[in-house]
Amino acid sequence: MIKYFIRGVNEINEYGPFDFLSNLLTGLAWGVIAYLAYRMYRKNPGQQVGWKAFLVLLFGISSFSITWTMANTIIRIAVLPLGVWVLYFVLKRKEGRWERYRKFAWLGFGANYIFLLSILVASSIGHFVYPSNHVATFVSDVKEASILSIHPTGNAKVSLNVKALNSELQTLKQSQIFDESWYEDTFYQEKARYERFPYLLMDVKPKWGSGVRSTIYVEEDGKGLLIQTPTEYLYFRSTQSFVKGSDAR
Amino acid sequence: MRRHHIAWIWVSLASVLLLVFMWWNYSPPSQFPDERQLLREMNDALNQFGTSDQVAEIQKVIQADRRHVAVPYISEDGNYGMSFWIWGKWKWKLINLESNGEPRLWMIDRNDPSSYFLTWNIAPETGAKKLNAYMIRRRDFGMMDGKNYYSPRIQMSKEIVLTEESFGAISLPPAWQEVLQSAIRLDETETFSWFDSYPPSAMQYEFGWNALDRDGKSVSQEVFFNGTQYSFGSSDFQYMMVIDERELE
Repeated sequence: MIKYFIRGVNEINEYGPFDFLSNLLTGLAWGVIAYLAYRMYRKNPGQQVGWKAFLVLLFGISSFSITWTMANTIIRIAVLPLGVWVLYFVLKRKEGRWERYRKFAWLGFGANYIFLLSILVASSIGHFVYPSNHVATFVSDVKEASILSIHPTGNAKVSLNVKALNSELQTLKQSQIFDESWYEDTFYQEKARYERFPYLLMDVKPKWGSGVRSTIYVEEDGKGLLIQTPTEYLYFRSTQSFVKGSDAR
Repeated sequence: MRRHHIAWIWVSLASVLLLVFMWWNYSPPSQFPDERQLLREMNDALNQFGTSDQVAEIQKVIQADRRHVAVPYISEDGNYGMSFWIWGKWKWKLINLESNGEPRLWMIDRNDPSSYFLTWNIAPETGAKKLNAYMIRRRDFGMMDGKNYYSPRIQMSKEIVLTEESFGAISLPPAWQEVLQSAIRLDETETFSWFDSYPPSAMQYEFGWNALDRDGKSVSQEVFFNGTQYSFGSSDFQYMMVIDERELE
């Protein structure tokens, strides 16, 4: 139950950085719902008690829904109005009560679609404002960044060249994961105990308001970033190494 | 007016209950039991469990944190075992007893790697002078939803010297915590944060160990697993497999 309300208030992950668009659009959605509820209430103020109508509305939101992921966005389509059903059985015990409150219950169920719309709008705007083929979406503030060796291939003594990384952020180019050279490295050098991405890039801030979560690996030569998001892997190459202290090639 | 009074009675009753609950669950720990009492409790537990083995000597009381204590011991059958204690419900409670002190992870809160402890009690007779603990995630690559993906291998190690003390309990190395934390952050919270279950991405990590003798050679694992074996208690522990050096990169 609580889960549904929280989800309505905030679609994003508690660990995630601030997701500006989702929050804004969710706020707008709540505004629209409040407005509609107010209009319903004003039509016939004597018929219902305000706070009761409010509770009915909130309860009406709960529903059985189908969830799937489309274009990196979690989409939830409400199918069965569970909350409305429960309200019906509870409210109809008193003569005429269900009739007075049912519009709020249905507005609650309808709110699911208003949220759905807001998420779709947020995600489509998000694709323009925070493009996933642009490294700055994931790596925007590197002031506090550092790297950590996570495989024996990595050199524990290297450090991040923050300046170099910062200047490369605009020029890093998205590249193909797994071209032929990787293939060779991974299969033939597996015996050589080689890892292409032996470093983890830590304490990097994504673009403000993007709300993206990612784990970022740094290539052994210091010139590549492999970015893992909850839904995909992205790979970016630069011409300059942003790792100090290794025998960068 | 009477309704008013009843409401007050309910509120005060609820707050008293809350206070009792808080005191019961979050009270500051008392003095850890002395050796005599520890011996008695552990032997009682062993009797209850139906083993003939008895605790002969308590090696040390290792405070993992304020509410968690690990106690390595030697048994009459010559087992180098480990017992685990937590403070809760107003007393120190024995939650786990293991006849074999092989390295294992104590995961107090599975969602929080900073609460993990690495524990071990190695019999000096095995000739092991050094312990290597490993955290490994296997390399993975392929195609998903028409896109290439590549998940780097992670292999981190921690060397533990056994010459002074052959037992211990330490927090997970900070670098390991960082890596696990970055994986947990990528998870969708709704799948796990409502329950105390293991975060799915952290599940990809394996923990292992091997032991080296004076000459730096691997100690054969047979010497670690002989004699009577018993284990009872809670499930907040992660088994660590013995790793063959050939599996390492």
